[in-house]
Amino acid sequence: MTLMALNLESMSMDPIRRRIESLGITSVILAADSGKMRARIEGSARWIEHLLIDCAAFQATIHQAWQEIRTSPGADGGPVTLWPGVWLTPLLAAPHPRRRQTDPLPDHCVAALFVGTEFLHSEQFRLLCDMQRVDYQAALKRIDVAQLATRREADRVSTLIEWMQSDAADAERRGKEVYGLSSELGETYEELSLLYKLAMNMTVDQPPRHFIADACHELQQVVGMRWLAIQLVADDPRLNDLQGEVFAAGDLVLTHDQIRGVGLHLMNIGLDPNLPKVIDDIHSLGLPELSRQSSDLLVVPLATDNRLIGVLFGGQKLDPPGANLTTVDSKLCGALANSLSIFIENFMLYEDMQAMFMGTLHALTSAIDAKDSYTFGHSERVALMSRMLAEAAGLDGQVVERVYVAGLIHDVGKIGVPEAVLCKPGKLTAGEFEQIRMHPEIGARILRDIRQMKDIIPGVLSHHERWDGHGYPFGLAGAEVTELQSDEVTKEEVTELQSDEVTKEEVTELQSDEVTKLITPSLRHSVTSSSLLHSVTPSLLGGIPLFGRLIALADSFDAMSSTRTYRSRLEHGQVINEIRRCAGTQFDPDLASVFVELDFEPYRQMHRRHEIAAQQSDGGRSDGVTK
Amino acid sequence: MSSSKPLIVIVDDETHILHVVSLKLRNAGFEVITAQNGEEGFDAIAQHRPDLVITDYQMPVMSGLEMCTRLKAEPVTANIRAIMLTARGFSISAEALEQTNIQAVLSKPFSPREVLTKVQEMVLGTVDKTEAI
Repeated sequence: MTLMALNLESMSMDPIRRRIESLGITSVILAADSGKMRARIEGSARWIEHLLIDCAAFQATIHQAWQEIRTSPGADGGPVTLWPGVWLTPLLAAPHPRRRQTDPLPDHCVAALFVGTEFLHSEQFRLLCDMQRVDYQAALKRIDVAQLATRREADRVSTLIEWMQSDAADAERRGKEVYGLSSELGETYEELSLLYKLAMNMTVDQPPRHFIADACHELQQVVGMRWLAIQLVADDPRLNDLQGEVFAAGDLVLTHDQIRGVGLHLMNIGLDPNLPKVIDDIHSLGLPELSRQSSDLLVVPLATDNRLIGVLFGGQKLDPPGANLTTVDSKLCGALANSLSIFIENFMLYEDMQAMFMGTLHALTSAIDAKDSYTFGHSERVALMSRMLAEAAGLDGQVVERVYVAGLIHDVGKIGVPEAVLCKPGKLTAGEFEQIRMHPEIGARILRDIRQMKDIIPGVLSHHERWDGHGYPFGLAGAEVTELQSDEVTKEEVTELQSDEVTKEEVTELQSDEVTKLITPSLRHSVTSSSLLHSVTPSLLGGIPLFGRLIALADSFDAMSSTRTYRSRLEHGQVINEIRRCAGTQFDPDLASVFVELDFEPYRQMHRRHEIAAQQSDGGRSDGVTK
Repeated sequence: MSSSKPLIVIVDDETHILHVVSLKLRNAGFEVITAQNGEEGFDAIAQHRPDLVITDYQMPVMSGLEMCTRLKAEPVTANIRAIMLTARGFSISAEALEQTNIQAVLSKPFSPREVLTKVQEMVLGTVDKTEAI
């Protein structure tokens, strides 16, 4: 693991050197000195070996031998004979047999030095004694012949050394491999952890704006860049309100406008939508504000189906300081850009679908309202006021949106009511009134099979119920008790909720069903509806569903504020007084007190728009102001 | 290796994790000793008294939690703090943690960068400036 810091050669040679020394074999260091290769002893050595190393003629032989090794490397891989009975085996990093001609020899290395008995009988030994001014006979006596090597020993040891060198080289290569793999694995962990975090965030129902901002921030941290930005294209309507948006994280060296400028510029330089790119030559971009700050710039296109939807870019690597952006960085950014593109694409598809859904709803409800010009825009206004009321009542954002949809669609059942009845001026007959009273149930039946409308249906079905139980179709009273709250309902409350009009027979007849038991006598004329009610709202234990109570207020408010075939509109003050008066009889008193405090300006504006539109479409018949 | 470097003991039965974490820490100037299960880890920690321990939870022979519990019970190692790496979604009860010196729990897949930041924070008492931006 310390590979990085150490000289690779000494790293692999040191253990081998220690091993051969422990076998009693002398090692010498060969190193270039003023152009000459010289040997020196660092560890322990015998007297005869010291004598050799100290001899200039021997050193000259070593230099010459080294030149020969250099020109014809690895002839046999065995020891090099310097003098008769004096052999040297250099410990080269690469083993002899595999050393290639092209590999330069190192300018220093370790070598094993062997002195054999034949040296003592050679001419060179006599010369050595002369040169070093040692008495030949005394020298012979001084040398312990038993400690000298044989050529065979030298050969065998050299072979073992070669094997060790080869093994050491292998171990070293594997060490490097492990180091490389660990680095790569570490990067992969970063990537995995980043993508995991993003995936976690994606499942959380958070606005795409937050998601992109978070992704930008995380990536800037992981890659260790000074700053990072994401610019979305300005001309893709599918992006909706994210068109042309800029997200930035880190220590911003540029102003927001400058970043936008860079981003828009980058999208026009013909990027390959699928390839991250490190721009080394920032000046070529012709963006002086950028080239003053960064030396290189990472640019990663965001694309779906080869269509550019944005670009991610950033500069100045901080970790490690001053480093250049690498392929690892662009790989990481590329991976993130991929997820981000998919996320944005999904967001666009979702928005598309949502727009389609809402567009269809609006078209449908406009069609209903158009059946009677007096109710032009009614559904949209009811939706608006239901949403405002839900919001003011402190409901969760998602629920508020569902209330809006419910408000929009609440009168869908009027499709099943003849126009002659709906638009009839003057008093309705009992039969006609009964037909009108059917519209909540017809609406619920129309929506019954749409999975996405399950939570809306109770609102549609119950928007004509009254708090005091005198509404229709079921005469439900009070607030619906949901399953969560049902434990708290006491027997007294249940009794209280039951209308006293229920006859004993009816109760007996119905008591097998916990739900219908709580429903008032208007059930008599609509047994089918009760099963419908039961099937769509299994949690309904009696009382008016929340959506119904909300829409009832908005619906009555709009009805009173608009002119009808049979009466003119009421003044706003009158309407508010009426709602106050009917709180606790017609309306949920808590919601009514919230409702009267609402800001009615958006409603007024919408109503005015609708009046103008209605006038334009049919000569002002529905103009409630002048009537 | 100089003795002035802070020493970290990493205990995990998965060698790739040992490699990744030790590499990240060594490159950042820490000395690292590794062990492959709680028992080996306990011995290494008792012997070397590191500045910090990073341990996996699930390991053969002895789990990381058991090792940390034993470390806290042993006077010589009672004050050595630990970071635990666990599988994501795996939670350890507060009572169990109470019996140890585990001061941070990171879930896998972890980010080596975050592990390093945590180690620097706990050992050096500093947060790398680049991380703080």
